[in-house]
Amino acid sequence: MRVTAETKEATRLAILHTTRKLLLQEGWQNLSTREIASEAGIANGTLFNYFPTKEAIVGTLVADALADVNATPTTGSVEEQLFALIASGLRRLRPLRSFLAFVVDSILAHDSERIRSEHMAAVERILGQSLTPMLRHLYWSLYAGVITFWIADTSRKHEDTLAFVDHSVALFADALRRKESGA
Amino acid sequence: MNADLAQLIAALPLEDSPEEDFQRVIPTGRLARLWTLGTMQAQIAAAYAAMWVRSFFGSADANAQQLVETHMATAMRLVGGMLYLRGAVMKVGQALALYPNLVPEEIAATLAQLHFDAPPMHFAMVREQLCNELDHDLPEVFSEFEEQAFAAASLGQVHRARLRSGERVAVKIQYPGIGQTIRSDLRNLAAVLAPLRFTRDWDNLTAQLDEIRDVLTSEVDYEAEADSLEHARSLFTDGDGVRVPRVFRDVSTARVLTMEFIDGRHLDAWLRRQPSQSERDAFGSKLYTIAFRMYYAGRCAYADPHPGNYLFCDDGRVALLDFGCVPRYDDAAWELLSQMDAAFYRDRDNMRATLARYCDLSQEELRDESRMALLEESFRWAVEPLLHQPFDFGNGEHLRVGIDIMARSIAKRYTRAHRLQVYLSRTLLGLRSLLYRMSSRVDVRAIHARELRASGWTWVEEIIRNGGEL
Repeated sequence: MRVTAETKEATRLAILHTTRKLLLQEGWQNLSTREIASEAGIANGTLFNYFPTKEAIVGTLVADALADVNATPTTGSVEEQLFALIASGLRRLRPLRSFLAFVVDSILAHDSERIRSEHMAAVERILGQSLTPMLRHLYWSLYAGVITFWIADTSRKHEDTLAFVDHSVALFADALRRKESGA
Repeated sequence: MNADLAQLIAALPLEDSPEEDFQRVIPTGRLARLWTLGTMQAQIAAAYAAMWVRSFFGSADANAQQLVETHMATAMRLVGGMLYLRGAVMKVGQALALYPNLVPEEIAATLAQLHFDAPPMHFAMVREQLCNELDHDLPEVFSEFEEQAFAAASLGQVHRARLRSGERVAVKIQYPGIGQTIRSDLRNLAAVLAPLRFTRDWDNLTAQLDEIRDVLTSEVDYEAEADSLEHARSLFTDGDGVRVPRVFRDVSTARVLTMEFIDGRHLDAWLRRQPSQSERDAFGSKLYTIAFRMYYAGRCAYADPHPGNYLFCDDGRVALLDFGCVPRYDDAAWELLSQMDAAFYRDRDNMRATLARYCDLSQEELRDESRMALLEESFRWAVEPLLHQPFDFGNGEHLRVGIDIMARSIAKRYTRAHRLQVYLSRTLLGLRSLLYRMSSRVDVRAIHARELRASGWTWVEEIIRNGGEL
């Protein structure tokens, strides 16, 4: 039987939807791919045709949650636009926050090239230029730092994260300007 | 105070050119903002810290002096790195601007400006903080919202807006997490100053740090400020010519305070219009009415009489804007304050016993003649305006004497006192420097007699019952 593109997309969405639901119910550690497959009504092997690991499913959930934000135009100074991009991204990720702690390292550092490339494209659109490898690295380190800080932030309504974003963005903008002025 | 702030600022390590920074009024970009914090404001904070420490060691020997200098240099570098001192620095700026004779005039003017022209949070940040706090997106709460702040508050900034229900409001928004960070900055500062802990004034120094921290802690909580606003609002009627903005509780949190918007001029703008003497007197009387009303009827102090906290309205009314520092008196404090007033009315020649209780002095301190003499002097200064009808605050001599007394108290380290006194002396000096700048003549005695009736003190009731004069 031929699997159409539509069926494929439906299965993919079913896996994502199911994972999200089960993660919120059961948490990261208690959830197995077998359980996801069974709840989504597919064979365990079929699931691996779509996602190689549980981390990869969450990586896609994250990337999907951020897709709108990356595409939303922003206004204001470079700092303000970067702040808006990051802060509204965090708002989108909020429902996933409870289990991001378990996957943040793998999805930011290794697995999800899509998260990185889409976010960096939004950043470069805001800056109106493509970044040097050094500045890309600096930006991504700061961004990963923000996500990690946010996941562990116990302050009231995560207000410390907002300040952290503000300072991280300022640090990056400062480095960018130094680079531009040749300092 | 001997330390010369200008010299201290000049002695600080500089980045780029601070002269230019003094000219700059509103830094717009984020970089400028960081730069400002890293240079001018931090320098002023450092200079203030230096002045502060030096004043405690004015009479120390050369070795002790050098020790202080060395550690101060370290402290200054640290302060320079404290981005978050923004809020604290503005507070310091306000305090310094209140005492014009202590600092060169142009610096006082710059600092007075700081209150209104502090660098802004950008709108993306404001929107995010509001959304966080109110759990709604901006348009769900406000039909209009000005993206540019129109005023800086000590720990945040104020935006004009209109509620969906149509009211014009001023929305005060706190920089996220600033309270916590200032507290840790202060801890760092205390740690750097730790080598001074064997000197005799260590307790005093840490007490001062504690007090700054307490004041900041109270100002961080906008819910407490909303309580103070509503308390104050209940104290005034239409006839008083005093406006206290209404609070919109459902659009306020611990970090967001939404108040009725009031149109008016700040002191400098009002003075530029060259108000007539009768306008100056009328506004001056209102400021005194506010102070006494809050004190006698409200059992609290409007303890932060910074010019930025008053608005002079075209209809002759005065609006009060900031209620971040409004200490309330408990029963014990209230009884002590009653005795102070009673002593003025009944036993002016024998004030010492009352003053000693009021300042919480030990037996040894009581026997210190120069200390007691200075206390009496400061009491006489406090009540002097009650003895002339009207009292002319435009004559700078009275303010000069008050500053001199405070400076001598600090130099002799007599400032350790009951917290009440700290608030009161600050309030009095602050209010009188305002009235000096306004050149007001005020019948303080008449206002006092009128407002004292609300105190509920037994001896006041007695005088009234016996048909006596207050």
